[in-house]
Amino acid sequence: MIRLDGVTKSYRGKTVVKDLSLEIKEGETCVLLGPSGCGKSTTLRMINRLVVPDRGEIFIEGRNVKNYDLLELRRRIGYVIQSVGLFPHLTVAENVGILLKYLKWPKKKISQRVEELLALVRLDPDVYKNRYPHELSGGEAQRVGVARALAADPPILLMDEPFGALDPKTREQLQSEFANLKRLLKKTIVFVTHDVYEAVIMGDKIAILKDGELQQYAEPLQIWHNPANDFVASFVGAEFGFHVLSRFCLKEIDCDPVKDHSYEEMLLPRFNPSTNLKVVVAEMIRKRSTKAFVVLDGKPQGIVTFERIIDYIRRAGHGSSC
Amino acid sequence: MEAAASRISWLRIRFFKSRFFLIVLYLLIVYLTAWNTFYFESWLHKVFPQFKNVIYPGATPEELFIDHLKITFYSSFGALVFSCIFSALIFTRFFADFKKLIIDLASFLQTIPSVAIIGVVIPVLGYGLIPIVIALVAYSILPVTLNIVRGLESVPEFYLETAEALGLSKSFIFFKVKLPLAAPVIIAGIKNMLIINVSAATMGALVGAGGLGVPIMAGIHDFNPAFIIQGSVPTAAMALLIDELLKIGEGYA
Repeated sequence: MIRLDGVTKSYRGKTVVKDLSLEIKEGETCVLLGPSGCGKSTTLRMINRLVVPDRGEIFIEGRNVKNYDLLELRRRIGYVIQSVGLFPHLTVAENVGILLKYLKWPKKKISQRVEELLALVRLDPDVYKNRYPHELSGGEAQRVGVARALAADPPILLMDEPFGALDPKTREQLQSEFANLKRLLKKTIVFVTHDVYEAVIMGDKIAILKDGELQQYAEPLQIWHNPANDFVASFVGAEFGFHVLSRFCLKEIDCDPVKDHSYEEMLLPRFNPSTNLKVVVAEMIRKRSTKAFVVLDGKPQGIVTFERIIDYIRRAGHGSSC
Repeated sequence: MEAAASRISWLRIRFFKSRFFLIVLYLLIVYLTAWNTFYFESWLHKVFPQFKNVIYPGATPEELFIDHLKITFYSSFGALVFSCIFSALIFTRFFADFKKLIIDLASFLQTIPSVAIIGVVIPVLGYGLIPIVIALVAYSILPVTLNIVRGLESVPEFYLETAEALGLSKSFIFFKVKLPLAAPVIIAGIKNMLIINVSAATMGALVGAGGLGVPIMAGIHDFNPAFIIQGSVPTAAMALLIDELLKIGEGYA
């Protein structure tokens, strides 16, 4: 879907992106992760031609971005940034519908689409559509920003630290909501962040950059198992494994059958099958237990042990289940 | 009881400070001092009983007022048109290098008092409506241009960038994003220009173009303060009226 081929960009003699090659498949989310100034935003902005690379080519759906009509290219690519950039003189509805208005959609169709989009990002259209950006909280503004980027239903979405400026609570909520939303929308997403946790929960694949050079491009689990070099290992940190665990669900793991309803078993920590492994492991440690009860609607499903979890993680090839 | 009383007084203060009230008040002052001067005249007679004439006898108040409006309108309109042309030129590549020069020049010309311009106008352009209009246009082009340029430049880059990234065309971005965001600064410039022109139009009297400057000059000449009041009160009220009206456009949302 998106292919970067030996892309290089420098500003005033300083190379920000150096010979970068990446391939992002359709429907996949690629996270560009790295410390600030590593060229991740520049890479993103080269995809929609806000920045022109010095060398190298970028292809979208097999076609060089240079050969696209600029406006057509950008309409196929939604763009969400940290500062949101909602136009302060327009209402929420006008902000979301500005591109549709430019494309001369009929008024009724625009307002229909706007309401649909607002509902999609979980804002009540009746409450929000006539508000101005300064009347929104940071989280609400960011939701509107996402809705606006989705207005013309672009197959590609570029997101530049979209949740970076939010308070931790709101950020967490938006992250999990967006993770759900992106599964629903099946867009190809390029996501820039410097937050390792965010990279792990958002990305199907993570590209780790340092000083404009690609260090590793792999799935989170692979990065955890085999970091490409010392920089990657130290950047993602030792707690990276915990973040990766949060991508997997208890239901994926084979259970031991419940043998007898002994007193001991009744005291085990209990979990719903859709609980993620990070929570499970932490809770098992807290309860000083190497086993946990899997319970669905009050019915015991089986017993999971530490060995089972370790075994599963060792074998788990790719993807996530949570 | 006390709470109710303070609530009423608070409402009263809010009303008297409200924009609507002020606009009506200024309009009323202009009407009563420059158009229908019956009450104004009898009040001036009471204040200045020693003068036989308290309203300038050389022309009717309506004539003076219309002349004044003419000078103000023509000069403001001219200044606006030329400022738009000027600022459009500044944003073309060819003149981009002169931008700083033009801005410096504008700031410098602002320091010249408007009366001084008359000294240049009479020997060069002669007497009448057209010379005073040309003088006022020349005086107010640059400040308006300055505000147009500053306003457009003050629009934060990331708004324009997100607009670009959305796939909107350059002209659409200019008219729907850039211009509205620059509007408060531009309108402030236009407001300033109008206020300057309304008061500077009194200098029309010096070049024989009429206007509310005529009773002021006559009052100075004859030591008649009533004439001065007749000319200056409506001028000041008009300036305040414009200020209040254009404040509406200055603050959106």
